[in-house]
Amino acid sequence: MSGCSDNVSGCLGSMSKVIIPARIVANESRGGYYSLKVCLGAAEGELKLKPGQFIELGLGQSDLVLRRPFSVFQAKGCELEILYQVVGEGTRRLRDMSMGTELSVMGPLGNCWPIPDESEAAGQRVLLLAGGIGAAPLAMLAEELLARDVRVKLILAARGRDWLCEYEWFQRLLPSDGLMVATDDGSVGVAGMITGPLDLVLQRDPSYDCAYICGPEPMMAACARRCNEEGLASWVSMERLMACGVGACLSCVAPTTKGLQRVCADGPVFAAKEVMWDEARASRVR
Amino acid sequence: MRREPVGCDSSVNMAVTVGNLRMQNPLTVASGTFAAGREYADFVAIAGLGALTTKGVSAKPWTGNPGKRMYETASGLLNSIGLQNPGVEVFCADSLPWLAEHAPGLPVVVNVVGHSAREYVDVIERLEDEAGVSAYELNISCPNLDAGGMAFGTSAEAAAAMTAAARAATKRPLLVKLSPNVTDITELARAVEAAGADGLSLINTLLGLAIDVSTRRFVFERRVAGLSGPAVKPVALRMVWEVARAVDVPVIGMGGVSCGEDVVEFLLAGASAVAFGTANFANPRVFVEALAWIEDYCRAQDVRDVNELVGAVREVRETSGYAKG
Ligand SMILES: Cc1cc2nc3c(=O)[nH]c(=O)nc-3n(C[C@H](O)[C@H](O)[C@H](O)COP(=O)(O)OP(=O)(O)OC[C@H]3O[C@@H](n4cnc5c(N)ncnc54)[C@H](O)[C@@H]3O)c2cc1C
Ligand SMILES: Cc1cc2nc3c(=O)[nH]c(=O)nc-3n(C[C@H](O)[C@H](O)[C@H](O)COP(=O)(O)O)c2cc1C
Ligand code: FES
Repeated sequence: MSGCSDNVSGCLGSMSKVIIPARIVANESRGGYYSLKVCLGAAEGELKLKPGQFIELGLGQSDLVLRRPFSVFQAKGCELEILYQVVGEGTRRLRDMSMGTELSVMGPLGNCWPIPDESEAAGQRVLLLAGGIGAAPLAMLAEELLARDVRVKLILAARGRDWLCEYEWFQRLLPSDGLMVATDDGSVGVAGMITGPLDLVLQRDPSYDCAYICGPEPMMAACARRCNEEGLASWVSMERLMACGVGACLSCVAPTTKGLQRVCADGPVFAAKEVMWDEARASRVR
Repeated sequence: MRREPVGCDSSVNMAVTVGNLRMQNPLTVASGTFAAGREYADFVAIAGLGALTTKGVSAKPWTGNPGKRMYETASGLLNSIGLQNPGVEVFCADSLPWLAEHAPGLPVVVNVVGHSAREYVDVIERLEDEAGVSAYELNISCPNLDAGGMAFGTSAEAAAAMTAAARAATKRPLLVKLSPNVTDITELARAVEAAGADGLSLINTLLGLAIDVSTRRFVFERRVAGLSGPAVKPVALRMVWEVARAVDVPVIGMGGVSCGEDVVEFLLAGASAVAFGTANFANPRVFVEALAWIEDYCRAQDVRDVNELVGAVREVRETSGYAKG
């Protein structure tokens, strides 16, 4: 690996964390997912996020005692967009919320994807591997990489057509040879798991500079193993159940070669080779 | 609520003392929910607390429990952290200097844990000469350990012996944190008081269980876990009320406290100070908002000193102006 900085903590603690009231300005379905746009209360100051960081969204429901962690899909000025999947009570209530509802955003949280320095970025080639809603935190990364003239190839994978996260958006962003698709049911692109097209890409040309991976944990583990076999450095964004979201409670730890690491504060981004995937199974969310 | 400018006649004394621990206001944080303050410094001026209570500190580093560590429940959460902490040496090297620099003067209550009486005493002995420590809170009530923790806190003899051992090791205020997972918490409270505790804090988490029906497995590797949050508040309040009447030492109340109104409820039940735990997760600024609410409440109730509220709950049938009508 030449360019992608090995130092993930380079962006840690660079921006102070804030809690900002946020008003819903759009909340609509996007295939199998939903898109939520909120407008951040301006007086509180700006929320500057780096690709890979996340927020804890306060839903204002007194019987749900915790905020909900979400990656940020887009952040423009005072507007912030997240993509979400309805999986339980919190996201169900979120889906039913109307325009104007007041929420609370806490962030920016966690570290970020390591990005090659401006001086050496141009001409580098990277792989982005997205499973399902895992594409969300890769969107701002892709934009940032393109802005630095990095050549990006994304493999977007999901169960089926409706779960290809922001397919059109990525089609618009990337050149046609920069996007491959895999669906479990074969409704779009290659039929089967993401490792199919990944193997193909790596066989044809293993000389990428690094890979960024986000999706279900088994998918990340499988992709990381393939990358590792080809000597390709890779980064993953982990998920754990979180109570505080800021590194205080030790709910969210994952086993790594550096010991137990807090996914909310030391992560969510980790060097894939540091994650102890087998040991990590026991503390997986699902 | 809109705040009036605090003039001479509208000022409310908020300072309290718990044993010999002087606090500028009755609010602290529940151990394990606020680390040692640093993680929350971006959101809130932690020096505004009456005292900061740290995460459990052990003599040697502890890795905590394997598997899932947290599970949200209706109006609460179960945790099985298992007191992961880097040990007292790292605490002295990292947390105390940070607190001394960023919140000088803020009383620091160190929550002490161990697998044996020796280990508890080792922590206290190591901390006894550290200037940044104001008091100890003996955690003999953690339900997330196989040895130590709650094992000491559910037998009056063991709890008293532990308290006596710690008492002999320190001149500082000694608080003992009680478990709610007992038949009669006042028995424990009296035993610990007799053994030399300067104050009691309660409640630690309630023993709970969760099962994932899709896999038919226990959610937690240790199976049982500790319940906290608003779901436990009425139980905590009842226990604080029972204990406050049973002992002469002050009580720090906690368990589901989420706002200023909850704090006042615990004060009225007999607590001299009150801790926010699970509520910090959703709102790290909760103690600041609660403080403002309590001051307004005191003014509205014509209370000049917050200590007047302690144990001031009235009997149901006490004759009042309304009842006479
Ligand atoms: C860093 C990070 C980024 C995330 N980004 C996104 C995203 O961009 N889009 C998206 O749809 N989802 C994302 N998730 C997952 C999302 O947080 C959960 O789907 C959501 O919290 C579920 O809430 P619920 O009340 O609907 O589910 P329930 O299952 O009812 O929630 C119960 C409890 O478990 C927690 N929980 C449930 N599933 C997860 C999970 N997968 N990860 C962490 N906590 C969970 C909840 O927060 C809550 O405390 C992210 C998670 C993490 C840790
Ligand atoms: C994540 C978590 C970690 C905790 N860690 C500790 C601890 O280290 N020592 C301790 O005495 N109590 C610990 N507790 C218990 C709390 O201090 C408190 O007694 C309990 O949670 C009830 O208060 P609450 O409902 O306001 O959270 C912990 C609680 C939680 C939720
Ligand atoms: S969620 Fe509390 S430490 Fe990560």
